[in-house]
Amino acid sequence: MSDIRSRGGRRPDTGVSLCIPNWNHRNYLARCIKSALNAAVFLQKNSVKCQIIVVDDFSRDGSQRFLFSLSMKHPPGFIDVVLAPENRGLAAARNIAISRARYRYVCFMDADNELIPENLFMFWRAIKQTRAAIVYGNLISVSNFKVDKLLSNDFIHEDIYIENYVDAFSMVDADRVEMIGGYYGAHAPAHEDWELILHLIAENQDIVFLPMTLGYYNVSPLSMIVTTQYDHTKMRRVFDQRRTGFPSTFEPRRIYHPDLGWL
Amino acid sequence: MLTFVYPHTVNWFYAHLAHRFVGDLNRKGIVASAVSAEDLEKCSPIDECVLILSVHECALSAERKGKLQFFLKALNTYPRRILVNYDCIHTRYFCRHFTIGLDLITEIIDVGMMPQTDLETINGLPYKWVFEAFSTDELASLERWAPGRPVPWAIIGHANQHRAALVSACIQTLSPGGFVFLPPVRPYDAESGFDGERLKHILGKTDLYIWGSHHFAPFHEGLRAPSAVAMGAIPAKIDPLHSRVFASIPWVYPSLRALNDACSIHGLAALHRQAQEFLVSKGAVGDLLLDALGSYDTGIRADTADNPPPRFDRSGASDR
Repeated sequence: MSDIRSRGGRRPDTGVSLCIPNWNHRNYLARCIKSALNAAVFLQKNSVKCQIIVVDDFSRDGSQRFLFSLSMKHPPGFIDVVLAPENRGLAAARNIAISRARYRYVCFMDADNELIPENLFMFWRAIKQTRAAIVYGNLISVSNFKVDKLLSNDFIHEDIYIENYVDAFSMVDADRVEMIGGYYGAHAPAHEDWELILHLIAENQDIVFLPMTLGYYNVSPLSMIVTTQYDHTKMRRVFDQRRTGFPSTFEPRRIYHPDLGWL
Repeated sequence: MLTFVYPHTVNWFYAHLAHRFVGDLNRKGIVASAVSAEDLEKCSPIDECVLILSVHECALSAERKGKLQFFLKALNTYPRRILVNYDCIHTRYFCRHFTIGLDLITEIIDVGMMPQTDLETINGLPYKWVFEAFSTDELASLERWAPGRPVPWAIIGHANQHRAALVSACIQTLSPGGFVFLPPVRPYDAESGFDGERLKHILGKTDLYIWGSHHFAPFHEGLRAPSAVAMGAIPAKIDPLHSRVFASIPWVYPSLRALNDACSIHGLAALHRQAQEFLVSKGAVGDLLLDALGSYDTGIRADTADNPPPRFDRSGASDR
């Protein structure tokens, strides 16, 4: 049971908790947290509260010192830094972040991601209006300082069983994600986000694509997704072993824009 | 009697375009009908002329229904078999129309804002250009731009590196909150993308409908400008390489900065009015098509119905 839930009740939907797991990404943290701080300003201008949580997963590159000096520069409770006592992996770090989230809607971003601050408000509106488990939008992938492609740029269809195209950099309903057990990485190293999406599909939860751009996905040369070998058929073994596709009541094509409605 | 044939099972917009032509011609008292590729065999073989919205996709559509041979045989009963082209003629997508058989098509009518070539023939076939004007129905129901639209700009199409970079540039140059729907390339049916009604809904709440150019040759892209202008959105094609070629078209800009400047200097209302007046001044698309048809040589090419169809790409994806 998480800290918040053990204190009883659901979290308020009046704010956004921005959650950033970090593992040896000190060099990228400043850019990431700066975008989060800017997003917090835009949210507050629109009367949406905001909290930033950074979970350091036992970094060895001095990230902790940097994070603490940063948190000291801001009012208490605005940037929460959590230091894991041992390296437990990305899924555990994200689950710790969720457990510390004060608000129902959590925007996950990796330490090398960068939010487009003005757009986060629209993602909050979308998830609040649709009551989806996840709302995600386009990410601009940048490699070697050059835009190379879009990620998370499609609604859910059955190719999601073959390969993931929805990144963790999205907005999730923390209550709902906790309810189904949170992130789980034991059979999906570096693919915890994919595992969560397929788990939510299996649990018949709404997953909504918002056709706007949430942020920049900076591809680091030695990032975990680049260096981790993974046999993708393992995921199919768990979630679509009989190749029957989506559960009969799951609606895959969910495209929503707060000013345009369902599309 | 004019028969328009369209692919039914692949990209939705060909059916839309076929019905658009038919509706406009019928209003003018011309007998015309639209039929899907797999149903062409049911049509009267005495018609003189068949106009084909994408030969390649029609063949693909008929094949998916197990009717490719019937489609090819039915096609060859028409003396005039005209490709109504919306593809860039310098790409492999255009070349695919000829992989089924060069003699399958007798003429090409290219629909767009400008002719794509000065040549009178392509692959030995007569080439004629028709301006992509509004239909009579569209002319009667044009919307105007008004302030207060919630979406500042929209980019819609298939994903590629060029378009990803365009999105990033729009966020940095114009504003962050644009509408972006750029899934991977695939057949664009009503469920895999947005159908005509959804597109109208989006453009009716959008200021700028932006697209770029990922073709090495000048290519305007069909549908985009009339769809935008009809719904009160301002079309804006960003083409750093070929904007001079499109100098006569009011919505082609060499850069986003130039677009931004135009918006600041003239205002969105004036830009929309200018685009609308430009399109309206060309008349109705049905009349322009009839003019093009009337000036054609009616010579008949060899019948190839008995020739086995060569193999062709079955993906149906069209990176237009």
